[in-house]
Amino acid sequence: MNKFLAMLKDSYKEAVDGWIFTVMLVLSGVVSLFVLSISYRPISVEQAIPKMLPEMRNIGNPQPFQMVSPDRGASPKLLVYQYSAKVDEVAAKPRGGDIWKDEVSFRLKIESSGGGGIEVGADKQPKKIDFNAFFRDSFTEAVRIWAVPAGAEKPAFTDELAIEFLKHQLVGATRLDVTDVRKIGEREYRVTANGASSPLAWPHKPSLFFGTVPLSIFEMPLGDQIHLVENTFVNGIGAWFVLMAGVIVTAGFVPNMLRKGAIDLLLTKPLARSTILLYKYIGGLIFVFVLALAAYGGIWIAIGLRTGVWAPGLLYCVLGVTFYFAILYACSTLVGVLTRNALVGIVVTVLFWFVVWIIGTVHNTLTVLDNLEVQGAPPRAAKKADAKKTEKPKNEADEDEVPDGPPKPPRTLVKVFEVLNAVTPRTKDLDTLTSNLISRELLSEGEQRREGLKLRSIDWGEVLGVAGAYIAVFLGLALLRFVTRSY
Amino acid sequence: MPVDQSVIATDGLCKTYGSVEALKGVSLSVNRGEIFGLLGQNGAGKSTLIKILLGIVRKSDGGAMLLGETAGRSDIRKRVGYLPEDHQFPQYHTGASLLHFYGQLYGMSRAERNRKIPEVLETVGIRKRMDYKLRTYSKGMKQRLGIAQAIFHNPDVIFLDEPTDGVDPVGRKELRELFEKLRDEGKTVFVNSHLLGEVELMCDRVAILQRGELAQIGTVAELTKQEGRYVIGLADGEELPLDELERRGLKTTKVGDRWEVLVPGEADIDTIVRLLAERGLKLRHLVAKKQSLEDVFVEMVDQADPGVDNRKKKTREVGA
Ligand SMILES: Nc1ncnc2c1ncn2[C@@H]1O[C@H](COP(=O)(O)OP(=O)(O)OP(=O)(O)O)[C@@H](O)[C@H]1O
Ligand SMILES: [Mg+2]
Repeated sequence: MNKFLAMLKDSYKEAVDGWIFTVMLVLSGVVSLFVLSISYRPISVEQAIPKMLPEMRNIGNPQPFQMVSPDRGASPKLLVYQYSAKVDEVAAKPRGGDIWKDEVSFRLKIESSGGGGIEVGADKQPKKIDFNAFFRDSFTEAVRIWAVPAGAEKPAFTDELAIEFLKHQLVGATRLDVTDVRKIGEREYRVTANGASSPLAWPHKPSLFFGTVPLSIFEMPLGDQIHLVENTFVNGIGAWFVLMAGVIVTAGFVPNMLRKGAIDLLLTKPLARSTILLYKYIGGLIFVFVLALAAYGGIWIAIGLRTGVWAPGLLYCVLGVTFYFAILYACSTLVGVLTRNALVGIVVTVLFWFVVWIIGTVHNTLTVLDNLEVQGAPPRAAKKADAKKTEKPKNEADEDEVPDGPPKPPRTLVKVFEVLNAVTPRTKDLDTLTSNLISRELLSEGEQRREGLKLRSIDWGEVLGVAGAYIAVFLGLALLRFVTRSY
Repeated sequence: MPVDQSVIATDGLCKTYGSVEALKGVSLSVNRGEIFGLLGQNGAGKSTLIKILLGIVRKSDGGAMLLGETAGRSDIRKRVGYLPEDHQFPQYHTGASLLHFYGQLYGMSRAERNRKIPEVLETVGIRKRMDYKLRTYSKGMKQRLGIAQAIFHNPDVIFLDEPTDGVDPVGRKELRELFEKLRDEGKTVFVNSHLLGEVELMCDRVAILQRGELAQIGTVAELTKQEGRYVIGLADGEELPLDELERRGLKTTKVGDRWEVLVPGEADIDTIVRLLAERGLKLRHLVAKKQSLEDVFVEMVDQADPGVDNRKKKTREVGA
């Protein structure tokens, strides 16, 4: 244990000796200060309520209010319907406390045109367009689909059902503490709520540099704003910086240790060779862990101080990024032992990282394209490629309206990438995991369902298993070489 | 450990690097409480021998024992100190922090380290610089630190690969005294060196490696002793009766105003002394001539192959 600490301290000394560590620390300090300078002010009730029910501009980017799960939300199926919600006559009864706790009432008008429902995912199929039935009224259809228990017949549309449905959808999409929904006209409802259940749900207006630069375009629920900073900037771009700095700094660890005249000194200490290399490896991991903790932790504290939100999701991501790095560093260690050259280590590791990333990205895109299917009209490519495939009985009435499906990617390509993705560390899936850790605490239930779409097809045991196997194989080969070699 | 047991023993030790045969069956043993010097030209295999004993290099064949154990085992390393040639200490350490690091690896307690480190740095004369980063050290200072790290954990055997490389003359003398002190404490010191004068002064026994083979081994006195070579000097103006000596089968050469005579046996020098007395010559100078280690070494090497100890590459065996 003492020897381990000594090796760690040595690795630490080596890491902080270079300028990269300092630069990274300064950088995270600057970014943390920047985040600390952002102030968030809750906007007025009149402005806030419409913002909580944004219009759905694009069916590919569904809004939670229009996303429906059958069986009163219990089914894993998710469908998107094209109706829109218009909010007006917003009135607030201030209670003297925070705005978001004020009692509110507003008029909700549902406008529904005809149009398809899109099934965006169930089980292992991330996206599947269901144009099977074209509805004259998608709102009616949404209510009926929502109410249907698994395997049962769709019930008839009633006003009571519509009210229950709206209550459920409003709570899921806005996190308003809805107390009453009353029908006041044709597709017109009066909604009253006891404020929002959390300030995260309430749209806030951010401004930079302690209120000097207001950013009106980002008037979104606070949770969404924090999510944007944490998920996109910290866990996306920030993680990239941390990993890159980690790869560059630690690539020198093993080659430096193996220099002639340096390795002799270490090999004559009472430590097994395997122990020396493993300690070096763990030293690198701890270095990146500390770096990530400093970067993420600084921003997390800044956000907490400014918003009062101390959601620990971002802190868990420190472990996620460290695990990601563990894969890269195992590669770098192997190359270091084989070539004793830091530069080669960096180049090969970055290449490996890039290849794994490309495979993951292409695989994800192909899977989405492959599952995108217009029922009743087999995809063009599939028609040609697979003539024998038994087709489902067509819906005669809808046939004219059903467009051709988008072109399918070639089967072989899909298969190749399925295999490639299965046998490489699925770093894309790790990204998804960390994203989910962040969104879990910040987004509404509806938004989470949308974010969680990608998650459903991921088998975590498999992902961690494959990544772990890569680490084991890389380190195993490195150890084999290191333990048997003459220096 | 019994006193008579050898601390280091190799038996037919071989090492090949690819096609280079660095060691070709070296057998030697070093006893406890000895300063042992290993000499040889560049590339003779000296460092390779030490590295095999320490487990840094894997042997190809033969046996190597250190402190009664098979060389290379990690459990005896606590009892061994080592100064490598061309050592590269991590530049981000200070002298003191490096020794603290190594001390921790040796399992020394903090108290022990705090006591020993300033003490040993004082001994090698760099205590004042112990809190400076190593990148600010001069070559000789690094070398002194290297010696400090080889001895500070109180090892039983100390391997020093060219220990006085870069150290100034005064420092060398101090280090020599240090090694002798360690020997007197019962430690075994194994030195690789090219500084023959130094080796001659401090080593109890010496071995010479040549092309990976043991060419000579013995005490310094044994190696430098020369059978029956004497230097004779007479009073001014007197000449040695060369013809008479030649008749008796003795070879003489004039060196300056003295003569070197090679006599076959111990006793024969007395006949020369008697002869000189008979002739009425006045003997002023008579010494048995001793070679310096350097003479022995250079002579041996000149016979072999001057220059670097370069071997022809092993011819690849067919089918191997
Ligand atoms: N790692 C290595 N790979 C290949 N050949 C090596 C290696 N190390 C040493 N050799 C070769 O083995 C032979 C012995 O080298 P070694 O370093 O033991 O010599 P040395 O006696 O210590 O020489 P010097 O006095 O120059 O230090 C040399 O021919 C050298 O070229
Ligand atoms: Mg050498």
